[in-house]
Amino acid sequence: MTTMRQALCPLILLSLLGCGGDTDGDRAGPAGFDIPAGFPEPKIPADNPMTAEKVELGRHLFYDKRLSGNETQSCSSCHEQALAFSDGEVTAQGSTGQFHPRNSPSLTNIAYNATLTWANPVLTELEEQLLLPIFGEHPVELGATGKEDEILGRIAADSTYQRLFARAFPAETDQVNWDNIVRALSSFVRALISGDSPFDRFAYQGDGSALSPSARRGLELFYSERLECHHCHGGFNFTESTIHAGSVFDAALFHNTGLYNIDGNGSYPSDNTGLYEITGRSSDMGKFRAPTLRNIAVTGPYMHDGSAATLAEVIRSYEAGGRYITEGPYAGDGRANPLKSGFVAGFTLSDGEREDLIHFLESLTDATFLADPRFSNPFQAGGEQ
Amino acid sequence: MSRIQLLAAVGNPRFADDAGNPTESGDFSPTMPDSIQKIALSQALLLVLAVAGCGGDTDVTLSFEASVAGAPVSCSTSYVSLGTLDATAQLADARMFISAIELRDSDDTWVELALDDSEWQHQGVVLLDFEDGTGACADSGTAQTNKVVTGTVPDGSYDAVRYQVGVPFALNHNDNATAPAPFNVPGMFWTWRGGYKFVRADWMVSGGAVARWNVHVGSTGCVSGAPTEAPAQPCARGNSASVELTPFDIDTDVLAIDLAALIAGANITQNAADPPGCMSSPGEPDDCTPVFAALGIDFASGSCTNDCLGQTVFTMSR
Repeated sequence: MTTMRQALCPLILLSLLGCGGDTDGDRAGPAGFDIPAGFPEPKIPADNPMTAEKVELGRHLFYDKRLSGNETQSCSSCHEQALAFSDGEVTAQGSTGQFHPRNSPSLTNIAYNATLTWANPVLTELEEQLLLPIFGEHPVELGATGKEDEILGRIAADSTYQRLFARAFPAETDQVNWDNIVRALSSFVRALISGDSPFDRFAYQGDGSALSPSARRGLELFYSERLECHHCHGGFNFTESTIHAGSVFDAALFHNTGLYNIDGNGSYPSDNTGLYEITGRSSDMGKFRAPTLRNIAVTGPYMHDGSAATLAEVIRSYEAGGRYITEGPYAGDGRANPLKSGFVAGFTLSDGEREDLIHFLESLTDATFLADPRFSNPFQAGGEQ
Repeated sequence: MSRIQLLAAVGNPRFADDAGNPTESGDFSPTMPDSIQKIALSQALLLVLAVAGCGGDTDVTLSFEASVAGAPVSCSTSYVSLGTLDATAQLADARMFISAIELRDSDDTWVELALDDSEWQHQGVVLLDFEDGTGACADSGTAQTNKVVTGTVPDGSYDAVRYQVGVPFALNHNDNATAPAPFNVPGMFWTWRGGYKFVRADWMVSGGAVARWNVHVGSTGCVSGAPTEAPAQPCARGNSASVELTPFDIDTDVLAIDLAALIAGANITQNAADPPGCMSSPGEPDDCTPVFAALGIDFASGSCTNDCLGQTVFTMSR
């Protein structure tokens, strides 16, 4: 920790102090981090401490299409800043045209994820997870497999990267390698912390006027025992599946929310069975990680497979205690899914209340985060710091 | 023999007559010359003084054991004969906070058990966790479990134990995101306004009108501007049960918690008012009154009836 604090980039420190006014608000954490008021310090692997230099290198790599086998996609192709690092698509399409069965998740506050991807209880480090989009073949995402050396050659030949790698890994002589690429990308996505929404100004910064009366009513609904939202989407990061530097209890939680029930026994579509795909336990069918609700208004379509187009559709599914699909290959009554979480019991909302709840969810959108130049594309005009 | 018992025995003037096995100890052999025996005794007393008289402390470990009417707690067992209609159900969560743990010494004075600091114990509060996150507990539980309380008391003899079920108001409405363990445990925090669930005992019910019957006991009637704001004044209904168990043998007795007794007076096959089960809401008296009565609490006022002495959940077993 000491070394991280010593390495604190003076520029970032200045920007932290500058954006304040809320003296009890933001505080300087490890280098490259902007830890908002009310947020605990994120958990950082000991073998990849945060530095501002690694974050900056990772930012370049994140936006660089040369990282894909055929130079058509970068990480940002499926994780766009304006969409809170999601892509607005139902499911993601990789660099060679293959579709992923899953919806591209927002990277908002991913440093706090107890587990990574939509449903994998053992995938807990970004340094491991990042290998999937880079090298994965089923489906192909960036498609680096088989072109590892070629891609490294593209990066190593670029003088900007020579400079960035030298700064990020000053103790090493042969810095351009996949380990360091993964370390830098991990550091960049860990820095993607969002905590400056109207909700945050209301809850953590004492600004009683930050929420509209409708959003205030929605907040009361959200935290009510009637709706039960906060059981799975509780805490500062709006998901119980959250860990941080001070966590000691495991929080690898997964839930079946009754989206499908194809055979009456709880089955989900065969390409998206959730936790079951990893554990093979029948009781894990259809269980997925509850994502953060921060920036949720800009990360549709929703659910692990993008099968709900709007927030209103998602809320209606929870109102009904599950989703009833009347026709098509996935027809079935998710409300009667025997594996459904006990907290998806259903509730009744008036149209006005549903609107209030949506206004509350919209108050979790952090406009600063969506346009923060520190997280923007460095290759675009004006993007370079 | 534990240090506490030994010291208690030594402090007893009848020790020379009825101490466990004085002839085997050597020091106290009746065949020893009287003078040597006196020297030995005075040395023993000096030792006692050195330990007890000069403010020595004794380590204490209190063992807790939760059961469902005597059957061990497990996240994969179907328990029968639960509640007023003999329902069958699985446990889906079994955790609680306790605090203000005290032991009664030989002067009838209640002495605070000074808790060791750990991930389960902080600032006088302990999280007891009887579920292991498997089976029916996977939706909300954690892999870790905790069934003991450890701490120290001044050397002496103790014959009773008491504690509060819950988190004291001053600590109950902190931000659990930034609070240290165990206050940052997931699944036991409502909101800043409502504070922590003091008791969480969730059931997955078979064959009833409801699939789930949750017991979440915590403070209600907490007034603040928003759920994200801590109340300035204590909540109208504290809903914290007091438990006092006597006589209590610190070395042999296990503090038992019967989760079947908690719902013995409730019909868990149906839900009288939302939310499912008893989540302490004043709007669900039919669900909650019997649960709170089992804790010795009057549901309407949120306070103990007759010091909670009528509670049926917490007992001792040897």
